[in-house]
Amino acid sequence: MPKIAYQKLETSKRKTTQQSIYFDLFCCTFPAGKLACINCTDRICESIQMPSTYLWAVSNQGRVFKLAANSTFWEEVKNRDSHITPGTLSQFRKVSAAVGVTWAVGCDRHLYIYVVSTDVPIRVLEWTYENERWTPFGGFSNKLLPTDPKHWSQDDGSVETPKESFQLPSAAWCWEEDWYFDENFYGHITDKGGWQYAVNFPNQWTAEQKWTSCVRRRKWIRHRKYTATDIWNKIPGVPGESSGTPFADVAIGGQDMPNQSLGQLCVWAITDSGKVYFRTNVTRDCPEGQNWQEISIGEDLEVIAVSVGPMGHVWITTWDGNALVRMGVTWDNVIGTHWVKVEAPSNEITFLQVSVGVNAVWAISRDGKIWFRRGVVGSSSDQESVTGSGWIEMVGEMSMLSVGLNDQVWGIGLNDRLIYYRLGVTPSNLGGKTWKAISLKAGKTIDSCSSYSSVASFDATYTCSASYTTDPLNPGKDSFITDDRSIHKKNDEIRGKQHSDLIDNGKEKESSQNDWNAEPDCDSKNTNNMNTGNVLKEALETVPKFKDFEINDQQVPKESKTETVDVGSKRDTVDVGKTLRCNTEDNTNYNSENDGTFKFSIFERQNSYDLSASDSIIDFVSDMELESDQDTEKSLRATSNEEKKSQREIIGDGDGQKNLDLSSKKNIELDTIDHRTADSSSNLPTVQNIKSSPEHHYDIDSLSCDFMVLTQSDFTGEPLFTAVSGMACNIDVMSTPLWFSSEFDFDKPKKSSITTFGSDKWRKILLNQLHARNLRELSKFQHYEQAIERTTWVKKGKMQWWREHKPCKWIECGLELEQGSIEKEGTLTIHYEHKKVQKHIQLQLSEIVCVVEVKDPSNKSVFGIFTTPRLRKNMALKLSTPTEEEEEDWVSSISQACCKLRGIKGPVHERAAWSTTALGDVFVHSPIPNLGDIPANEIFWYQLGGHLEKVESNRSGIVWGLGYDHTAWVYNGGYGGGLFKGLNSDLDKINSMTDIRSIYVYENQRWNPVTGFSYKALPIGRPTWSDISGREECTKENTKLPSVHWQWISDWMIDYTPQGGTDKEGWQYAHDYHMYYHGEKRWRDSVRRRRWGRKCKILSSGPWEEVEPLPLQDISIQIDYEEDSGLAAAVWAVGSNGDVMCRLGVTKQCPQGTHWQHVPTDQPFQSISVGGWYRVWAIAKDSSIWFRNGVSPQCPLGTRWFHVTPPPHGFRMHQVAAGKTAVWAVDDKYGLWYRKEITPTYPEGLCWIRVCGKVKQVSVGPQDQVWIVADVIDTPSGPVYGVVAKRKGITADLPGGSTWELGIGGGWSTVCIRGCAEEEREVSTEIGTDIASFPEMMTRTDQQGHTVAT
Amino acid sequence: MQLIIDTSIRQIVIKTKVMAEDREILREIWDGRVPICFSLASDEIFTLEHPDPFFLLVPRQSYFPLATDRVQRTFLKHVDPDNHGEMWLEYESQPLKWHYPVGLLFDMYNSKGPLPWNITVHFQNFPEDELLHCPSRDAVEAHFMATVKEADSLKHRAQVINSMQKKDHKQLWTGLQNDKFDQFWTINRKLMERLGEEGFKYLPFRIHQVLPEKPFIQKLFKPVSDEGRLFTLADLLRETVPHIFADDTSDVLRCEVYIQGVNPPLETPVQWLSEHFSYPDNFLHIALVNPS
Repeated sequence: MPKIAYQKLETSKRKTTQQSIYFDLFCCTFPAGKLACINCTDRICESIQMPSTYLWAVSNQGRVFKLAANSTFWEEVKNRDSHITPGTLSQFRKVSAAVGVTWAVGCDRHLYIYVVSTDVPIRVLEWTYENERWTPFGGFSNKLLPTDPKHWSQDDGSVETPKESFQLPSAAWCWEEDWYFDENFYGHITDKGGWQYAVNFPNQWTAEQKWTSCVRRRKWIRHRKYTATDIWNKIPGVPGESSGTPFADVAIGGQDMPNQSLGQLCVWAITDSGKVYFRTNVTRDCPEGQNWQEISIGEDLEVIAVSVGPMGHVWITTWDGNALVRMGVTWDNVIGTHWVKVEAPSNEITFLQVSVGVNAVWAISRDGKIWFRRGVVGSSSDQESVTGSGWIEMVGEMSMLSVGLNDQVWGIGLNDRLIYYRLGVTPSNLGGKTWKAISLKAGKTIDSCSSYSSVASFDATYTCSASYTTDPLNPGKDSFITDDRSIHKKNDEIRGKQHSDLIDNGKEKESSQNDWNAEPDCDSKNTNNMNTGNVLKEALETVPKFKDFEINDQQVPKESKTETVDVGSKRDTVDVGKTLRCNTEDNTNYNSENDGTFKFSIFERQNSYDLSASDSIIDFVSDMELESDQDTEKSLRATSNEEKKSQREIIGDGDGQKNLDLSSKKNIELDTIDHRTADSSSNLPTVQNIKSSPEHHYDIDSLSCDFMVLTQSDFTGEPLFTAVSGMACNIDVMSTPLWFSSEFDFDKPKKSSITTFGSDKWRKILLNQLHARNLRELSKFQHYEQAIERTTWVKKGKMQWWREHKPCKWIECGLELEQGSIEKEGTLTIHYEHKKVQKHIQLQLSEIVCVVEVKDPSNKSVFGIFTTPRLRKNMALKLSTPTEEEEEDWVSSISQACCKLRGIKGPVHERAAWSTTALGDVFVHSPIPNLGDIPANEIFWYQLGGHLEKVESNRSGIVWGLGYDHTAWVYNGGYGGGLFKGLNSDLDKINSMTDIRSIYVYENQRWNPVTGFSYKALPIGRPTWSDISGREECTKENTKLPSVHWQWISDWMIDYTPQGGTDKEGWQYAHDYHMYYHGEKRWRDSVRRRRWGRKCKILSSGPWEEVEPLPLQDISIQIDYEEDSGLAAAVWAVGSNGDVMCRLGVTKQCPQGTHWQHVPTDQPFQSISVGGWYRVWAIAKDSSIWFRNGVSPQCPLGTRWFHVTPPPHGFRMHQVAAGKTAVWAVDDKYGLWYRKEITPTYPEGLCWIRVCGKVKQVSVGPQDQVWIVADVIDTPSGPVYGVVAKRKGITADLPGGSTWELGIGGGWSTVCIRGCAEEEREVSTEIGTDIASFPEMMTRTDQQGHTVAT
Repeated sequence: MQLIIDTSIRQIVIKTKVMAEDREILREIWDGRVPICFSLASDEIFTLEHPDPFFLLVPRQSYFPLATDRVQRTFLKHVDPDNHGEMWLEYESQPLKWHYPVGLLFDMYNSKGPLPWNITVHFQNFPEDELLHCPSRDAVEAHFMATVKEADSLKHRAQVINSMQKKDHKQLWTGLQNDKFDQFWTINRKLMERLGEEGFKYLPFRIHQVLPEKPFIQKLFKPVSDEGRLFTLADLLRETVPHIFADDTSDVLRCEVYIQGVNPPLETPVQWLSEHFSYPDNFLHIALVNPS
């Protein structure tokens, strides 16, 4: 069996911004300023961020490739397994890619969709209600009143939906399970049987039956799953049209439109007859969409090309070369209203294709010239912004263009068929600077799935003799193998299979003229020189058909057709005829710079399409006839050059990778090949010979069928292209992709580059030598005196200090950091002048417990210094430097000095506590020795590089972090990064990091009787533009980036996602400003507001590795993991769209684990926590609380979810934290709860007990310690937001603890003490001893019903 | 579904941003000390009581005048108060140049010798034609700063050193003087930065040959070719001292090459060596020692 093909994981740093992820980025100030915390509801993000960003392209053989921004080879996109199943295809004409899903026009002119598989499946919940009414005699039954809903209905009862009415949308879907009733009623557990009760339909439903309950209903649910991932899946054609509507073009876009549902796309397609269709309802849960909706174009126009921008704008190109724009496209009317013609630069210019970006539109005219449309503004929808203001001619000649997500542009060279990337395209210069060719090879085969089936062995048989294999021994030599012969070797079984396939294909071919090129394999013959004649013969046969087809179907007068078959449109024309394509495209320039990897140049390039614009079909035919003789000659030459022996050598030595897979059996087969080679060589000389042998003809057909498999699985070399799509490619404008850097060529021995110093061999040698040198020269002489005594040194600087006593203001000061001679002491001194008297404040470095950057409303560069007494008062010593660089330098210096003094160096202690601030900074406390013994306000926090929203750890030092853009990171054991420049970092382990946040401003309006809603505020109003509180004025213009490390990546856009909902213009209404906002106007509402968001991105660095581009909103690592156990730790996560996943293979050595496993749930989740003894607690988005049973090392996914009793009505849980035994939770009104009486017999506990309010987040440690981040603390000097606190007095009798001990605070966001295991000592709680019998009890309670009610 | 992370791509991506800083190497180099036994020249002992030899660990990066204050003070008590001049050091009748870093002197004269390094202290018969006078530490500082400036003019056309403030220069010097790694490298880091993506304009290096002693070799040498290829130590040596190669083809050497007390592999890029193995004066001091 062949080796399993592993998928190369995408390690892109560039995060896609396809979906909006909104987070408030608030200012934090201390001590008394405002600090808004991140609105908890925003933490639940509906959007999923699909992985990496790829450039997609179609090669001239119709094969689809993709190229990651940080990759240096094209990766072929193939069907998941090598089965040639009906409905899938391998040859394509065009692609249009979005992130995660790609649409393509197949060579059979059907549309195909390719959904990239992720670890989270596409799962859709179907549900229906079973309604019953109570009658005095029969009890509850389905005898309903006429006014009642039907026995089976949807929520509102209007539609009758029996279970049988739910059908799978297409063959791509499968049911996950049978129907079952849902016992979860908005977080509460229903009565037995899942029934909810009410007095009447429709009414308030309750989970409990009361004496007034006359009706009841229950919800039956069932999930269906999209299974056709990583496969080209056929989309049904337009109903009513003749079978198999031939499509000419497809374009997808609209992913950046505001207020889109998850994965929503605008899919537009063009048929061969020039009609425009829109695919309705394309979302992530329905990737194939629902129906085709014809969009009229009027005036008998026929369309040849379409393009959709990320903002949903649509441009089409007509046969006569006009460009039309769809007007009125908005997020609530994606189809738009009407077309508007855009004038060409001059009358002579006729457009071939237009490509739309956000703020850029590019076009190609028929002569290959490139035109840039200026004045396009993607975010607005008025006619001028959509159509732009004028055309500018750009340099270069292209046959196709594609504009990407952020207006980056790719093109395919008119003559060389290479893909060009437009360098230097920035928001300020959308036209870019120059074209640069992407000259890369196709990579080693990467299959997107490891599930090679039995076909794989068959596959391998052929790959071994693939004609494309590079010959390492003879790099200059063409290692060309005549595939036709090798194909003959296939064993009977496979042949049989092919037979049937072929027969089918043949029938299809005969039956439908339109479908004559439906055979996917026909394209691959071109490489087969033995078949040349035959192929030609076939071509000759098909050309008349082609003619017929063109004339009959298109109904175009010949003159106009002649016009269209010119240079620019050659691709279209060429693709129609299967063999024509071989001649016109593949003969181009494979012989150029590939070191003998290919030999496609069977035909010389002399095609009609090069000749003139007045090309016609007839010319093609005559060319073909002319060529046939030459070609035969050439093929002869080619064959004679290939000695049998050398062929065999090549087979043996060709691609080492492939040959590893060969078994001896296959070698025997190779012998057969050789035999055949002789045969076919003798057959070869004349075209007639081949023609005359029908059997042979047949073989050729089957052969090409196989050959497709063959070409799929082994292709290394530089492809040439016919189509490109950049809509899935999000290139960071600041960094050029790696495509052009030749030093990253993996095939060659790595050349040391100026930028790639690091762990080279010589460095290790040198380091070892230095160690040896110091050992030799120092170790025996340690008793010698040091020649140079160490003394102190001082760092000085001028800055401003916030004077805390009146008058409170910034005053000039000098700062001196003095580090002691023995590195055990040091001071920080602030010198200032007060009333002309020099004064100073001095701190011992040992007093400092934290140095932190502060975002100040004054927009200064401010940092704060905390000491224990200052923490008690929640007053940081605030200093402001003139520049951000100086601020970072000082924070770094002081922090380093404090760390040195406390002996903290190197990697973070595995039992450290972690915390993050609202600014995304990461802080660590290394336990010395036991966290519990130190008062919370004396523990020392130091910063680590990186930008994260939250950090989760466990006691063996497995640490994961989640970014604001929901990227998962794992701590790699390094230190430094971020503001700790160079010398203070462990460079080998510092990676660059990015994160994305949104900054919001609010637009406020008040209603008045004259003008309605307007900006004219009543006297007690708020600024028109404000922050969320309305106290500070924040306009779009004066909102600045948080720091120099951030950059804007989007424009201001209305956000339709705030809590409470919005109307179609994004407005939220309220009775008054400080009241609750809702999405629809009510009669009492007198104010409204809308939220504008703008995304920005940080470039930072830290000792973190990106895990996998799967966005997460919560993660938890097993709290009692024993690293010596040899088992993997239980790691559970919640994806950003609420899917629950289990990360497998996580160990101390491999903290990132190996892969995700999806855990099915009935509804999206939001929080998860893995406590002791594999007890997994989770909270769903509807705030129902779940307990996963049966989790064990042997069964990492557990067996089933148990529904846990929720807190009393009105409280909705939001976050859960499970410690060794204790379970705590926070509700969405910031109330803190603990679960009472968790015992081995009742691991789910008895009930929730409320502890206190104003708690933002809770973390429970391995000894059931409880730490929180308080939302707000009231101090004499005003409220302080985001303070870390520790619960004191937790005992067996008092599991809720007694008091809070405040720690670091003012701007903190999360804390994690899950790693803070204290040295084992007598834990005096009864629970601690009881719980020892947990594991057995857990298994015992397993096989019970679905619900555990307490 | 089994997924294997291909780390090679990741590593490449990461390394593109690595600067010329490798704390581990720099720290090892900085922490280099040479054990030295200072003895007063026996013919200069004036007192009856012979002074005990003085055992010190001298930082390799430092200069003798910064390290020998106490030696001088102790031994002065034992020499003729009326007949003594400036202190100078000698090893096996080789006067030691104070303006060379200690590590370089050690590599040149005692790389193979016994430890501790026995150095004789003289107060008479100053070898005027071989040594410079060193009136005070200021002279060392002046010499040091001049060398740093020369190095930067080679590396960056003096752009970096000229953009620094006086206090930065002072911090550089005091960092070296007081053996403060952080203090020194906070400033020196800037001097070692590459401007843009290219390497240094020219490589600041000096090749010191011992036995027979010749003046050091210093030439203009670009560490990176115009095509972006990194020149290696072998390239540098072939360019400057071709005679030390046994033949034209192989990299077999007739002598040993010492930098900072070690023999670097010849394939080490000189750009990297300059960034990490330079002495505090920013020069890459290469000692060629004949195997004896």
